[in-house]
Formats: sequence, C-alpha cells, structure tokens
Amino acid sequence: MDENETTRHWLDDPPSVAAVLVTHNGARWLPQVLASFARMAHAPTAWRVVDVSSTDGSAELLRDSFGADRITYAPSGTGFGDAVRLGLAELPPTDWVWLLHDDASVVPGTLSGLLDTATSAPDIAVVGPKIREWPSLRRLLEVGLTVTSTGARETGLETGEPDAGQHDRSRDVLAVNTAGMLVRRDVWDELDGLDPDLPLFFDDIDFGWRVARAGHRTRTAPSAVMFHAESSRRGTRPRTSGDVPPWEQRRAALHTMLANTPMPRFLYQYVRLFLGSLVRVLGLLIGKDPEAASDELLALRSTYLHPVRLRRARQRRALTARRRHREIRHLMAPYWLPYQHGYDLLRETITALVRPEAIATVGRRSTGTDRAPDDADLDDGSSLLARRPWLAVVLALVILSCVAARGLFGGSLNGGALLPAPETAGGWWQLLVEARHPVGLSSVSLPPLFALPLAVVATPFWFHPGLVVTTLMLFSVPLAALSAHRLGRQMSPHRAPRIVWAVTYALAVVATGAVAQGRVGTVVALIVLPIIVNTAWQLAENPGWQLALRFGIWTALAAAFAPIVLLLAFGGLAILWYAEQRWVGRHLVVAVVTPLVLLGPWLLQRALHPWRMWWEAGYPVPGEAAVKDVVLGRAGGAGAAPAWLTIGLVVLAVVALVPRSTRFGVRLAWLTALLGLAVALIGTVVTYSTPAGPADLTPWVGVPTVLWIGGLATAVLLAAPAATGWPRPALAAAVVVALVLPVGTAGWWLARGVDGPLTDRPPSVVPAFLTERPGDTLILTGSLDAGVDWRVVSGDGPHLGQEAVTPSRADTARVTVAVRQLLGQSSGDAVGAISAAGIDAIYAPEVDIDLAQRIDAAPQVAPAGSERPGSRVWTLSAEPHSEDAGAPWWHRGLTIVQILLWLGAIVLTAPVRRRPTPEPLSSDDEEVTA
Amino acid sequence: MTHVRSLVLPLVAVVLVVLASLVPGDEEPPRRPTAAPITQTTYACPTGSAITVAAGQVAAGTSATATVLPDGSTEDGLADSSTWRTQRVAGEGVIVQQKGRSSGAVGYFSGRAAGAGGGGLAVGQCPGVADDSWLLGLGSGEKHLSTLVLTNLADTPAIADLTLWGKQGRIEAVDAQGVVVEPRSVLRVPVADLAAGESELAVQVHRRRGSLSVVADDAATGSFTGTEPISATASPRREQVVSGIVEGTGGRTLLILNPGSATARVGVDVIGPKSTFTPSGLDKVRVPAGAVKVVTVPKSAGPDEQALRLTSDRPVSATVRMSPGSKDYAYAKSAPALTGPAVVPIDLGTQLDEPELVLSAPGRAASVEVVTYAADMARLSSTRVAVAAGTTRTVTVKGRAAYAVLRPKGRVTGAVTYTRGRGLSSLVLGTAPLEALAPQVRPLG
Repeated sequence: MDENETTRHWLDDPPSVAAVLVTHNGARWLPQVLASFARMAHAPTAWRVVDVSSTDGSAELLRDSFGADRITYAPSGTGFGDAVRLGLAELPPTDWVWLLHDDASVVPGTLSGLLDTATSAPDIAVVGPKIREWPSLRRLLEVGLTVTSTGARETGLETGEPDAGQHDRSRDVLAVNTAGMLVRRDVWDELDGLDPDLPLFFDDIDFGWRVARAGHRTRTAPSAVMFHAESSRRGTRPRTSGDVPPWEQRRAALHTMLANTPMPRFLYQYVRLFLGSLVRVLGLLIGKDPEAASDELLALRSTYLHPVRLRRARQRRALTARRRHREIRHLMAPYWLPYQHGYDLLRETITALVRPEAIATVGRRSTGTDRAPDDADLDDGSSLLARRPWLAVVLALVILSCVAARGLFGGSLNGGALLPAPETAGGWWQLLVEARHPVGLSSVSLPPLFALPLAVVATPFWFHPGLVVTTLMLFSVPLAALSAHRLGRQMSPHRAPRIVWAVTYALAVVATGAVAQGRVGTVVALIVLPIIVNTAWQLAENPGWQLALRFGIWTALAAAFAPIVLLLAFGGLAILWYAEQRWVGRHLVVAVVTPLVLLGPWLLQRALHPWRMWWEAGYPVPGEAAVKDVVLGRAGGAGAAPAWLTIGLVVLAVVALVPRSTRFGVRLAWLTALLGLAVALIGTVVTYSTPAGPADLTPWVGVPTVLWIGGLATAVLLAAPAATGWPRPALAAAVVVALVLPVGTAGWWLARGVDGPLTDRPPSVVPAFLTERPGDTLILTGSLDAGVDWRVVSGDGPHLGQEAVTPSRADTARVTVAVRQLLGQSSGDAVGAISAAGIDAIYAPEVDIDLAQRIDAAPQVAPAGSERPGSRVWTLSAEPHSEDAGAPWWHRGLTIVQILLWLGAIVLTAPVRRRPTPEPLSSDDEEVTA
Repeated sequence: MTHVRSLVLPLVAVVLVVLASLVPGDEEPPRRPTAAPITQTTYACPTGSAITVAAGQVAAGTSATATVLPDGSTEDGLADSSTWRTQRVAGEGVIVQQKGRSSGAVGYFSGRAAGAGGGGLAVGQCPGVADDSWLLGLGSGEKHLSTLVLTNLADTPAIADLTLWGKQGRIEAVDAQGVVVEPRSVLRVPVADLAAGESELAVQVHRRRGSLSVVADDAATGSFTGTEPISATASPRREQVVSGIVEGTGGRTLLILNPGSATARVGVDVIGPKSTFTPSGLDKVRVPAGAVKVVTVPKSAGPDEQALRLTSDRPVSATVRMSPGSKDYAYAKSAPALTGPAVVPIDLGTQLDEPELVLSAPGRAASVEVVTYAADMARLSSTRVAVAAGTTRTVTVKGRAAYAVLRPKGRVTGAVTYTRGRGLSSLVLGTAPLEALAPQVRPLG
C-alpha cells in the first residue's frame, strides 16, 4: 500500500506535523484508535489531545497513552473547531496540522501517504485520506467531499461501494473530512481555522470551500487510509448535555450554503433553499418521517431567523476570498445531482410505502421480481431456468409479450375502447383539476378517478405518457403473472404448479380479448385483482386496520378503472367473512368504506345507475359475450382465444373438489369463481346506458369472466398436492390437461398478436385541417335508414379519460334535436343551433349519400375537401359561439380533496419512520488483509 | 356423502348458466326513420312582371321572410306567416322561408303569358329543395321550347347534374353535368342549349351539392299552343296514378319515360267517373329503354275527367299533356296519394274562374273534407266529398275563399284545374309539408 520510503523526497527534510486529537466520550473506539497511532510508520512531530468533557473513561485512556501534559480539557459544548483551536494553542508552530477524531483509526502509512500528496505541489493546502468504514472494512465512506446546490453533502460514492482501488487517483476536491485532514498551518491561521458557527457538521465542507476561494488546493490522498466510525452521524456516540441537537446537521448545511454562495446567486439560493426546505418538509411528512420534518423546520428557523449571524459569516469569508467562485465551480457537485437525490428520496419513500418492512408478503411487492425465501437460487444446475425458474418465466413472458406486440411499439396505442394518451402527462392532471372540460360539448361532470393514478405514474415520463398505457397493455401478461405469482406464494408452496397457475391467470387476461380490444380498464383491474385477493387473504389471517385500508386502496384503484371490481371485491369479502367467521367488524368496515370514500362522488355517478358500473375506462364499446363464451372464459369480440382451450380446466376444477385434504381451500376458490361467473352472466343479460351518450349497451364482462377462470385455476392449484398420490398415468393426464390452457393460449397469443382493433397508428378522428379551426367538429356516422350517431370532438379528438366526462343532458338534447332537424329538413335553424354549440364543422367519415344530400341542402353549410375517400366534410359559415354555463364552484375543490384523500390513505398504510437508531458496528470479520 | 355435497358448487354453476340462457336477449330495435314536425320551410318561386306569388300555410307560422333574387332585398308583402298573401314581385325569383312547427307553408305562382310566347294561363307550385326532380313534357324544337329554372336557396354554390331523354333515347347533352348555380341566384337554362331540336324531352335534375329547387317553363306554338310551368312528377316507379286529367277526349298525350336499360311494359287503366277500366290500345304500352314514349290517349278512355293508373314491369315516370282546346294546355302529373292536409290555392292574385278539384280514389272508397279559408285564415266553409272506389269525381270550389285545405280520409290523389277564358292550368295536389321523415339520432358520447 505504501510507497517505498526511499522514493519519498520529503523524508530528506521531513515537514513538521502537529497532530490534534479531539475526543468526546469516545472510549468505545479509543483503544483501537490509540493502538493504530502506535503502529504508524511516520509519526507526527507533536501531539495534542483535546478532550471535550468526556465522562465515559476516555480521559483515563488518553492519560495512559499520551500523559497528562499533552491533554487539554475543554468545557462541555465546545465545538470541533474550537477544540482544535485550543489544542493548537498549546503546540509549537509546525508546517502542517493533522486533525484526528477519536472514532477514526489509522494504518501505519496514513500520515506518510498524506505527506506524499501534501508535498507534491506548493499550492496544496489541505489533504485528506481515503476513509473506509470502521473498523477495517472495505466499504468506502469518503474520498473527498463536495456539496450540491441544495446543501447535500456529496461523496460521489455509491452507498456501500467497496474499495477496489477505483478511487486511488489523487485529485482536487472541494473539501475533505476533518477526520484525518492534514492542513497547512499557515493556511489554517490565515483562514482562522474551522468556523465556530459550525461546531460539528459541515465544518469540513465550509473550510474546504474557504480554502478554495483563498486560492489554495484541497487534494485527496488515496494512499492514506483511515477507518471512521462516523459516530456523530450515526448517533452511536453517547450523548451528553451540550451536544448539538439533531437538527444541527441541516442547519449547518443551510448556513454553509448561504455563507459561501457569492452574490447574486446568493439571493436565488436564499429563496430556493427556503422553498426547497418547505418541500422537503412536505415530502418527509408524506414519507411519514415526522422527526426529520421537524428537524428540517427547526434548521430553517434557526438559519433564517438569524440574518446578522449570516451576514457576519459572509463578511468574514469575503475577507479571505481571492478567487472568483466560477474558478472553483468544477469542484462543486453537478447541477443535476439534487434532482437525482430527489428521485432517490422519492424512490425511497415509495419503496417505504410499497414494501413495509413489517409485512413479509404483501401484494404491493407484486410489481417487482423480488425474491421470496423459496425463490433463492437453486442448486439444480447452471441455467437460469434451473436456478431461478420464476425469474426465467417472467423474462420469457416479457420476451413473448414483445413478440405478440409486434408492430405496436410505434406510438401511442389506441383503438377499440382505448383512446390515445394525452400529449403530456399534464393532460391527465388538467382533466383532474379543471372545473370545465373542453371536450367537444363542454362538460362539468366530475373527472374519472382513473386519471389520477395515470397522471401520477405518467408524470416522470411527462412528454411520453403513452408509455404508461403501452406498458400496461402490451406487458399485461408478465405484469399479471407477477401479481398472480405473488398471490400464489400465499396459496401454494409448490413451485411448478404455482408457476403454471400464475401463467394461466396471466394469459387469461389476453385470452378474453381485453388487450386486442383496448380494454385498458379490464387490463389494469386484472393486474391488480390478485393483489386485492392477496391483501384480503392477509387480512383474513392477520386482521388489522392498515391491511383493511390497503385492501380498500387496491380495490379503489382497480374499481377506478373497472367499477365492477367493487362489486366483486365486496363479494369476495363476504366469502372470506363466511369462511373465517371471526373478523372484527371494524376491519370489515374499513375495507368496505375506504374504496367508497376514495372513489367518492365519481362512484355515485355510476352507482346511481347500477348497471353503469360496467362502464370501464375507455369508450363504452359494447361487449359481445354469449353465455357459452363466459363459461369458457371468453368475453367475446375481437382477439378472444379459442374457447375450447378452457374445457380441460373446467373438468380439472370439478375433479379438484374430490380430495378431502384440500377441500376447504378448493371450496373457497370455487365460491370465488362462482361469484365471477354470476356477475359475468348478469352482464350478458343486462344493458346499461351512459349519461348523455350511447344507450342500451351490452356490458363487457372481461373482469368477472377472468375471476371465474382464475377461481377454477386456483381450485386446481390448491388440489394439486393431493394429486401426487394418484397413479402415474392419471397424474400425467391431469398435468397434460392442465397445460393445455396456458400452452395453447400462449401459442395462440404469439400467432395472433394483440393488434386489431388495437393499433399504434395515430388516431384520425377528424381531418387534420379541421383541428386548426376554432370550433369543434360534429362527427356523424350511420345512415338515414339505420339511424345516425353523433359526437362532438374538440381539436384532434379526446384522450384517455376525457371519454368519461359527459356533456350535460340539456346540451346533448339540443344537439340531438338540431342534428335530427338538419338531417330531416335541412333547416337553417338546425345549423344555427349546431353553431351555438360551438361547432363549426361537420365530418362524416363514411358518408351515407342521403345523409350528405340533406346536409348539402342546408343553408350556411359549405362543403370542404376531405382526406379520406368516402368521407365528407362541411364547414359552417357562422362563427361558433358556445355559451358555456359556469361549472359548479365546488367541483375543483372536491377533486383536490379526493386527491388528498388518496394521498392520506396511502400514507396511513406506510409505517412511521423514527430517527435512525444506532447501527451496530460491524465486526472485524471483513477486516482487510494487508 | 361429502363428495356429493361438494358437487353442489358445480351444480350451482350449471344452474346459473341455465338461468342466464333462459333470459331473452336484449336485441336493439331497428332505428327506422320517423316522422318529425317540420319547423322551417323554404321554397323558391319564379317571379316576373306578369307573375303573382301566393303564399300560405295550413297553420299559422311564427315568422316568414321573403328574399328577392338576385338583389337580396326583402319582400314584406309575403312576410306575414299568419295570412294568405299574394304579391307581385319584381326580380328573377323570390325565396320564402317560413318558420313554425308543422306550419305546412306552401307557395304558388300564377300568371298569364303573352300571346307571342304561346299565351295561356300558368299556375305552378313553388318548389322546395329536392334531391332529384323528374320533369316530363319539355321540348326544344318544333315550336315547343322549355327552360329550366334552377334556384339556389342557400349561400353556398349548388351543383346539379342534368340527364336528358328524348323519343329516340338518352341524349348526351353538352355541359349537362356539374351545372353550377351561384349562391342565392336563379339560373335559367334553355333546354335547347343542351339538346336542340327535340319535340319531347324528359329531364332529370340531380342535386349533386347545395340547396337547389327546380321548375321549368314550357311554351308551345305548334301542334299545341300555350304556356305551362312544369314541376316535377313522381320519380320512376312501377305503379303510379296520373291525376287531374280534364274533360275532353282530344289533346290528351301520355308521356312515359323509361330511364332504365330494358323495355318497360306499361299497362294503363282509366279511373273514370264511374269505374276503372282499361281502354283499348293502352293495355300494353311498350316503352323502349332509355326513351320517352309519346302515347295519344284514345277516345275509348272517355271524355270525362279522369286519372290514369299506370302499372309497369320497370320503373317509369309519366305525365299527361292536356290540350282540350287550341289555345292552352296543361299537364297532369303523377303524384303519390295524399297522406295529410293539402292546400288548394284559390286566390292566386290572378283573375281565375272557380277552381275545380279532380279527385280520384285508385283503391278503396275515400273521402275528402274540403275546408275553405279567408285570407286571414278564418274558416269559411267545410264540405266532405266522397269518392267511390276506383272512380274520379270533380268538385268545384265555390265562394270567395282565399284557399282551401283538403283533409283526405283514405287513399286519394288529385289535382286542381284552373281556367280563365280559354286558358287552362293544372296543379297536382300534394301533401303540405307538416312532417318529414328524419333519421333517429343519438349521441355517441
């Protein structure tokens, strides 16, 4: 590690070094620290120990090691900088001063390494060692320091990054840690040492910053290694009166930033750090870390309520600054680092929310490929499939999804029931908060709640929100498989049947035709459905209000996309209640009330017309399922897999009822399946109407149908262990029958793909030139003999979510009458009424000749060119003038309350964070070998 | 026993499936067009120094405007939607627009032509916008000249395609396709400009685009003499009744257009005063494909007022030119049976004898209630006229009424005949525009 001493030119005239060791209740580490000093190859010229009111026996250790005459005793509350100052007062002048902590040990070549670098150039004023984790681990803590513009201490290292020599090149840095800092005495005196206003934290960064502004260099010496326990940061040092409060760390950061940032950037930073701190407080509260939030507020108060202190600090720094700030800018952290930290914080917060440590297995983990204990690497062979079969299956499903989705990665998906995503994620946010929706005939109805999760998830991909929809639709199979497999772990310890079961469920999603038909509501609901069941399962096993709340949140999320899930979830709760018969009522109440509250008034719009619960996210495209389709797990329409593939599963599910040992679970699965079957069959015999829109629509029954098939598959999974005793031929036959559905569906899925009507071509709702006109466009389809359908679109058409906001009945009725009048008698009054609705163009995509002639005959209507053969366009000569009534004042507020309710509910399910408890120190088992 | 209990669950599934199968399907009913009250009526009348325009309605409207073409000025004399009004209007034409729910607004024009142009009496109905207008009886030679009057009722250009047929077959006329009529203007197209030298012509005016009404001026000084406006007859069909043939055995010429590509065999029955019969020589009239057939109605049809019922194996259009005297002629046209009130103009602003209704009941017995009104729409008298099955009868509308409204009961067709001196004109009876078939319309969200 150390260089050959014969090459060290400074040994010819060794520079004098005064070492100052500051201790404060460091008895825990001092024995090792003092022992390390004794082994140094090159020792300091002079030693001074400053003990700051240690009460733990440190003083005795120090006396034994250094003798009483080399110890200075400082009063309680003395900061590190002041302590060093006291120590230096007792020492003769030397070339260098070496600062040491009582929790940092050295290796024999530490000082030599520091001096190697220190003497390599005359303008080097400060040198710092490579600091690794106590007591002698490979993990790096620091190799130089800098600071971000938000006041975050930045080491440039990954958390837990091992030392493999990757940072063993000496370089200029902004600062080095005071633990092991070697500083030129004249520079120390010039800058008056460490700032007394920074007694413990950020004194090193502040000092380095001032050193740099004074025209000196701070450099790392990677050949010098120290091991630091970081007892102050970790809180492992016994606290005594006079110690700095916990919020001092953040105050020191703010103080350092504001004291050293030059004008005029100081003004910007002054405001930014203030507002940024408030945002951090909010984020910490959301992350349920109230103590950290409190620290942030106290630090903010302490910094901003003492402007005089700040002004004096800036004046002192101005006296010693000889270089412009821009000359040392390269030493600062890159500008984007705070954003990365923000992202890390967000990720950490979400991780905390999604993966509460108190719960071993929850549905929330379902979206990750995290490993359960039984998913540990197997010793079955060298291939991934043999070692980690589930991961291999997921990867295979991802690859197969890419193949099945061939030709659909070109842009924003649309077609069938699916509308394109908005141009930016702001489209969904706007839909949520705007009081009036400018969607053709303007609407004041409440926005659909599924826009909220879409907006949240799409925000990181602001300009490509379609990525979210594309991922959900095209990778629905692996996503559903992941959530199902997580549930499978709860239900079965047998790996192979569980994997087959999860894949069967996942493929059932595409087998219904939901993806090909653009049924995004069904897709999301079916991805979430296993999570709901999983949470319900846990709730049954371990009742608790947080689990009940989580059940309600997941149910609300799925129901926002497919409201029928609400009915299924409540039905499922009833089955569990019947099965368990021991639930405390309040848990049930929380589980039921939570989704009702979270869905709020939007749910009322659907629930007041019960069959409207069938209307999922996207256009209300009618379903085509017949009874036999439902029985065999198909929801009818384009993209449904051959129904016969399911026959074997139905037979096996009936057989699954036979074994006595597994009958209880199998019956539960059958009850759940029957719930799905019943709801799906109801869907085949009823119709629903949308408000001011299409009427008498046959529901799409994809969600309950998959629940039926999923329930049957679960019955088979649960009965699988009982089948191990069957005769071999019978078992083989059962396995083959069980594999027919997933294998056959996968083959069909790959062969057919998932397009049609789903497409990635830009939707051409209206000709391009009409989108530039000031008014809306009336789209007419149908014929005079078979009836005409109309809709009004604004611009180039609605995006996903806007289809759910409907214009008022009065406006709709007015336009309906006007269109009928126009097509019945070509009257000018009708044209006037259409103009009054804000419409200035009529578009007939597949025009009926009679219909076109009626419109042609109307006054104030001029034919215009159309881009598509067979279509006709007319423009209205009258100026469109829409007289919009005011939106109810409470709409916007209600939506915001709704958003806050979601946020509050999610936060409530997360565990409360406490101030970090001292981490146990690592043992020496990873000690470095020389 | 436990095994059996477990089978309850699959049985429940079977029961659910059976129950769902038993529920009848909820099929969407067909969305056929339905009648909707007309709230706004627009028609165009040709005008001139010798022409008087009359405007009226079945029920008072809410407002009316009359726009004179080509200058766009308004004519207040026709703007009262609650009275029967007549007005002589200068200009090329006038567009009357009347609002009111089921007002049934109608307009007529009348006048006497100068002797040089053929002389005689002319009464016609102001046409509204039509998709296809079939005009028979036109000419472009042998002293029989017709002019198409195309009026654009809207403020965007209108385009029409004209198709002409003569006795020898279809005529490939120059510039007959894509005839543009400028917004709010009248375009007069002499048929001779399209196809010269044809004594008998039939024209189909197809409105390709825009808001267009069509009528024709017809004048002759040859084998028949006089003037008559020609409005559209019924579009080609296999069964039709040409109503309103006036008294007199001479000068009746049946004109039949077969626009198809195969010869049509047409049987002609006479619906006479006492019965329906087939006159000799008219039992099987062969009309060549794509040609106009001119058939003289034989004397065996009888001299009385009558209607002709045509039955054909191919769609044909028909009209009858009536020239009982030597000084004027008129056309009896094919029209569908009345399905609602029909307005009979009496006060046309021109000196006329009392009009005579010629009513036919081509099927079962029918009746018509004839109610006369003063110009202020005050009811004057009411008479119910019975028409025996398969017969034609005439009724003279007496009194000083401004107009009459006929309310049919049963299947009735008819026309009203106007005379003055030796002048003759005929106006086919049509149902007033109270309702129109409109598609069923619904929002798509």
